[in-house]
Amino acid sequence: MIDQELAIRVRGLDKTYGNTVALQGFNLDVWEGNLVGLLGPSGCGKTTALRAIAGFERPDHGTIDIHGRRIVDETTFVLPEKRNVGMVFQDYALFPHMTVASNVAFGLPGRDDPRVGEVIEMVGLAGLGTRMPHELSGGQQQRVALARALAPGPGVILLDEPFSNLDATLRDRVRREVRSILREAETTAVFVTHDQEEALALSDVVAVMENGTVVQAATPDELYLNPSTRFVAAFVGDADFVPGVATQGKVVTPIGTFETALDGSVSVMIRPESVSLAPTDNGNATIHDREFFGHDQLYVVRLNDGQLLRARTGPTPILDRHQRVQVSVRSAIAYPDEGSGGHPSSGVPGPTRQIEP
Amino acid sequence: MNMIPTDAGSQSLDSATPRANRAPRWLWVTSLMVVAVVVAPLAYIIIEVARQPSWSLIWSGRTAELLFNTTVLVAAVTLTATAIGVGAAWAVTRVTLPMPALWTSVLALPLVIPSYVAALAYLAASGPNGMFAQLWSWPVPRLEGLLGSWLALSLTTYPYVFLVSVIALRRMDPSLEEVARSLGKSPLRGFFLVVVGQLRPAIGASGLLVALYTLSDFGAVSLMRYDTFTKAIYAQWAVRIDRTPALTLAVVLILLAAAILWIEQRTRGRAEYFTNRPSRPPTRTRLGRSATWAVEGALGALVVLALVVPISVLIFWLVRGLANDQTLANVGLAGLRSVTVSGAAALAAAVAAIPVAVLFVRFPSRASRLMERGIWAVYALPHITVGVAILFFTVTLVRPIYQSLLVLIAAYVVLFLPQASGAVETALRQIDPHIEEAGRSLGVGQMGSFLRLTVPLIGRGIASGGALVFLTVMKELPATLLLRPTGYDTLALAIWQQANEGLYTRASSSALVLLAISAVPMFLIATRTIRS
Repeated sequence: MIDQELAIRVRGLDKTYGNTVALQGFNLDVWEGNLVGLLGPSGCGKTTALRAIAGFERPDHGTIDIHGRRIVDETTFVLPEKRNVGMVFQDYALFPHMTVASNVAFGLPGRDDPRVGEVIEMVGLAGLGTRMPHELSGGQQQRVALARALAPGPGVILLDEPFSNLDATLRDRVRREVRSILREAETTAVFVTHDQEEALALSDVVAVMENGTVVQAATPDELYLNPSTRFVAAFVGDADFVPGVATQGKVVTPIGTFETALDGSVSVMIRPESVSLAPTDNGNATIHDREFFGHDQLYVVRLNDGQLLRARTGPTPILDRHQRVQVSVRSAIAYPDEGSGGHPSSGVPGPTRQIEP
Repeated sequence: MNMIPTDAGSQSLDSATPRANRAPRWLWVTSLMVVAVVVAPLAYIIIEVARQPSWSLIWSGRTAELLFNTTVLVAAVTLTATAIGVGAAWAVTRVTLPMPALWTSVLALPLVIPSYVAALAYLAASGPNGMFAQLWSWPVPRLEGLLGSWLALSLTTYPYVFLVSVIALRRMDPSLEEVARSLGKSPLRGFFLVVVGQLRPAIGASGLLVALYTLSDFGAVSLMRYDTFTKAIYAQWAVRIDRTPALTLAVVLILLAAAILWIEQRTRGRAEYFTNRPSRPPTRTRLGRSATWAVEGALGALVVLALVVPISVLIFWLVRGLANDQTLANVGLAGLRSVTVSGAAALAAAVAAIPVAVLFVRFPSRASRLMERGIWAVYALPHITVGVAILFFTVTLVRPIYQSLLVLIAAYVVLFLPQASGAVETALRQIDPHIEEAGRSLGVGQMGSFLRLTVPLIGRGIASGGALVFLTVMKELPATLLLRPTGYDTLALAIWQQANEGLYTRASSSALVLLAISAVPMFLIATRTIRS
């Protein structure tokens, strides 16, 4: 990745509306050709960040460069139409009084530009150029919006919640199609989503946002396996936390003792798939609930102190409710608790392993 | 519209709602100019009267008498129109009637008859010289005064309540009545608890419309010789050199209109209007044969009284006049004048509506909402008060344009701007706010995006707003009476003058022409509204 060129570079973006802080020290690097997912809960500022890059919001502070060209700083503000940035809106914003071909041609110098047919074919809508937008299905409208944004050959494509208006059965398919269209067009793209599964499945890099800033930007696997904060761990994938106090390299929790470099009050993050259950009469938990999905099943166990913990196993073993089990954890990550009284914690979060039951 | 891209700001975060950016200066300037023209004359007379209030007139027996007469008429008409409108709406939506769609259209038709035309018809039908006496020697007493005004106004205003109630009843989810049944309420009790409760906002809003219409009416009460504020204001203005009494009465009438608006607001509660579409049509009650006959008989009588009688009377007098070789009024010239001023007013209102509508929809702020309230407040006021205000304003401050067509057309814009701006606002609201942003992200500038994307999409709204103003101006009477250049008689004016002088043949011919020009398109608009 080092030899790649930086397509978008955002530094220190701040934006407030009245008393609401939308962006606070927002930084983002997008490498040429990458598909970057901007992931966060609603209200975290992800759409504001996208609109700032597109030129529809002017940040209070900060800089934005696209392909090395300064488009926003304290004295510069390049108008949206001069940025060469394509945008796909959440509601597609197709021009309802124009045909598909006219929509696609809007950003081109002439209506009979060969590029029109080329892009319509690329998104798989060949032959539908004379249709009006309302005569198309939701997935087709989505592709027109994409074709229209791609037609002028923008340096960057921005997509705002691109799949949220599609129903669940269609979403997976359209997602894969959009990804392959963007690959084929060799475009750099940033998309906004609140759906972590969508972000993980689609992106080369996922940037997780919290309260107007990016807390971690990494490849999907890195993000899942090594979340840098408790928030990221909880937001990306399923996670349970068990409390404990770390002293002298050890943290004792209701499910056993883990080794750690931290000191003080900590939370140990456990993913359901790293929990194993062994039926035994003197185990440390009981089966509380079970959902069976076929290819796997999700158990909820109640620890001796009453806390609930999830465990994902294969289709077997079949365990009954109230059955006593021994819980063991294959891998976990310990995070220092912030501002907890009595046991000040220190150190950086890190992977840990169980050393005794 | 992001008119100033360098100054984008927003109220909402991750949402698709229009962003509350700061409006560009030219938009503020043009909108403020339009709103100032609308509001200034009224503000001027209110200040003028408040500066030197003639308490002796305000507390006189004359004012008390006018207040009494006006209140009695407003209350009687509002109650009657509401009862008829809701009853008829219930019949066409909730009872098994043959041809309910036809009934709905026909029952809505009297909407297009101006009150003074209805008054003309009832006057020309009744009394020793009326149609009934001439044709069949029926001794129908002359309908005038309170009774005649009440009849003419009730039968021309009930369609407002009827249409609003039909829409509300159709949009009501029938499941709600079934929920009431499943919770142990009888059908009748369920109807009152659920249906009437839900109709409350619709009845309140349309009742308010009827009350303001009646308060504002000048044509019917003046023809019927019933003494209300509007009639007294005109009489004062016509005979006195001193303008103070007319202005004072106008301000009292404005306060009365404000009081009605206030009462409606206070009693409205927090009920919402129905916006969601029901999953299935409402269930209709199956009536027995005699009950069906009774309902049909009542609806039929209503149609005869409100529609068949007025139109037949007009045609009777026209035919009678033609048979007796009476010279008809110069209907052609009056019609041409009506179309000219209405067309000019429609065009002016449509143009004036564009900046204010863009400002209200795309850049909502406290100031823009205040401006919006200002133009709607003027719209709600009796036309005669607005006419008096504009007349006084031009006489005292801009004398050179006094009695010019310019003032008349400006007055129509003042009176009916919300009809045009409302239509443009609706069109603007229906446009995805991201459309212009999409245009800009494709490299087309803000003006280009506005012209190529927004204008084609709101063109229809602009046209329909203008059409609405055209049709309303066609039948406007009191402001035209006060503000037209001397001798510039439009159709509406000709009808009123000729009816006032008992020239029923001439009045009827003018009225039929007016109905032909304005009523037919109005009816098409109204039926399209109920169908959608």
